[in-house]
Amino acid sequence: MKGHIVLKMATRMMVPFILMFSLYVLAHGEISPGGGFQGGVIFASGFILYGMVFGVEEIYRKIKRKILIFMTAFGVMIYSGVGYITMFNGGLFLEYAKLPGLNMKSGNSMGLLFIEIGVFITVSSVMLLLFIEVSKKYDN
Amino acid sequence: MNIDVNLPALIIVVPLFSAMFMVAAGVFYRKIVPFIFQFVSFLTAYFSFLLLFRVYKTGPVRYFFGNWAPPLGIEYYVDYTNILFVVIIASVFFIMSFYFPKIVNNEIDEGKTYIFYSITTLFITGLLGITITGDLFNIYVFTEISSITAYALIAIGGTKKSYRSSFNYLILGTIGASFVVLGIGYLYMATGTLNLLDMQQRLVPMYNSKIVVVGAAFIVLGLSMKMALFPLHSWLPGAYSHSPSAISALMSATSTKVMAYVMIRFLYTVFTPKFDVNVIPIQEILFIISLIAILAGSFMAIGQKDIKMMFAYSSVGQIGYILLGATMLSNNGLVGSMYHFLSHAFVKGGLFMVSGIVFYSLSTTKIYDYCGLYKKMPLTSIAFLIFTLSMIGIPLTSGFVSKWYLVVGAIDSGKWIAVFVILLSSLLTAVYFWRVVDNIFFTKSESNNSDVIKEPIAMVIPTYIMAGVTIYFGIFTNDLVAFAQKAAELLMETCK
Repeated sequence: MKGHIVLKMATRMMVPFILMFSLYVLAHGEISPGGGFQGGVIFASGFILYGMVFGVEEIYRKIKRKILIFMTAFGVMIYSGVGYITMFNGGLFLEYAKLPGLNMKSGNSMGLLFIEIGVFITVSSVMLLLFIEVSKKYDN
Repeated sequence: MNIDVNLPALIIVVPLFSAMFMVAAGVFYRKIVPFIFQFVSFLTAYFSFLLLFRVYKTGPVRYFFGNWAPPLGIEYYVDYTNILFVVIIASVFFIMSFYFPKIVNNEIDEGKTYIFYSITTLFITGLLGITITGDLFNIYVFTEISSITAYALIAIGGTKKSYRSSFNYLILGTIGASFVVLGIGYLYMATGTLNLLDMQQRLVPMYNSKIVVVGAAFIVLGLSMKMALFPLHSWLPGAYSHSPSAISALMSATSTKVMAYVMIRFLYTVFTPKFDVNVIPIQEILFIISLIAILAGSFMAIGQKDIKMMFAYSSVGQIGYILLGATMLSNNGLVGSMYHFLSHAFVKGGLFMVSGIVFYSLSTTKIYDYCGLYKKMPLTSIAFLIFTLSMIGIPLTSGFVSKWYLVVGAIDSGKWIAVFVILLSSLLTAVYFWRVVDNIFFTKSESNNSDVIKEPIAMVIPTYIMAGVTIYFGIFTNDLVAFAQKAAELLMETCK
């Protein structure tokens, strides 16, 4: 896409806001519509928009595929890692009240946020991976 | 951490976490992944045995996730029945994890191996989850985990046939799973709960409700599809015979049988036998279908030229045995069913392992090419003989004990036709397996090349451990039978 100056400028202006908005959706997941999954999709869509306008190679230059695969696994590890922490702290699996330094009330709110962060990371990197795999050129 | 309290969760969470850890580590350093895989399988088996001892001592264990009490929260319910299944799956996984590395390096692209190990661990996580959970929707979610990973594992071989059979399984498996979730939805609509034990209580006054009947029909149909009961088995032969050898061994040992377990759970725990007999005759229908499955599986196996295909059709028949024991409404039938689960898991897994070793050394799966195998690979051939004897049901092997209890159960409940079918099917099993044994031991191979091939010891030893388990439970039957009796009594309590 050469010369589409309007498209490029608009994208450049929009992407930071899209990324910011996704974090907002993530943080407000437990009290309003939204959460890790929706936030993750919005976050990935910011990058996908960037990739569609500037070319997939640009995304490759920004993020390595290896790192994306790593992040996919890492999100799930955060999710179950929270469960492990509660178990090590003497509770049952994912019993947020037993998170270190938190009580019943704050634990349930913070614990939810932690696992949503895990979901966020996994979903956003899976979305990006899917986009990269689909837009790959079959040039062999 | 209080390991003793958290055991039911750890059995699921450890492999789930490690499956992801394998990907995360494998991206940077591939060679470490098989060792993580073996370590995880060891941990899972260790935890499952700890849980077995705990259940044996103190009775059924209930574990509330996040400490939310059952009707609201998710519960893991471990009683005498499902701990047996969990232990069998975990130990098969443990034994096979030592068989895996060599054959995986041989058959899977090097770039995909770490993903392969990760997906295999996820697959086992799904199966363990199905068996251990006490929540209906959880059963569906874990079914999806195990099936989606299974589609990937079948296709990972990368041949045209493997893609086709994976796609075939994808379509049929998805239809089956959606029937199951539809049925669960109906039951949820009727009762407002998803907990197995809670639902059992609430369903009793509603047995004549149309919603419950429709839900039951959907669930039974969906499960029959997932477990490859005879008329719905068409995905199974392709899935078993075109997947990588390691996966056909692991899948044949575990996947369809877990669905048979879910069927037992539905027939006995969710719907009590009163419903199964009085409202709509599920027991009677499944009894007849399983008889047909036993015979049809054996007959179809006779004509096969490919050894993995033959094993796959024989699996169709063996699923019939497991279901048959569950439909006879007798303690001994259930004992036979559980014993057959163990016996068939180790025997069929072992047989696929043998075919994997032969494929590794000779790259063939044709029965014709097995001629004179004893001269070339004596250890493998003897292992094959042991498994064959157990399949047929010769005394001193576990296959004999399970068939014995199935026959006793059939006599107890007065269903003589089942006795006849079991005996006839044993004969048919002897026919199609002896054909291969004859090729291996008594026929000379046409090519003069009959040098002894160096057998891969790392693969032969796990195979012999499987054979050892088969023989052990053929001779020392008391403990396991006593345990299975206990489980059967607990299941049959709903009969009264």
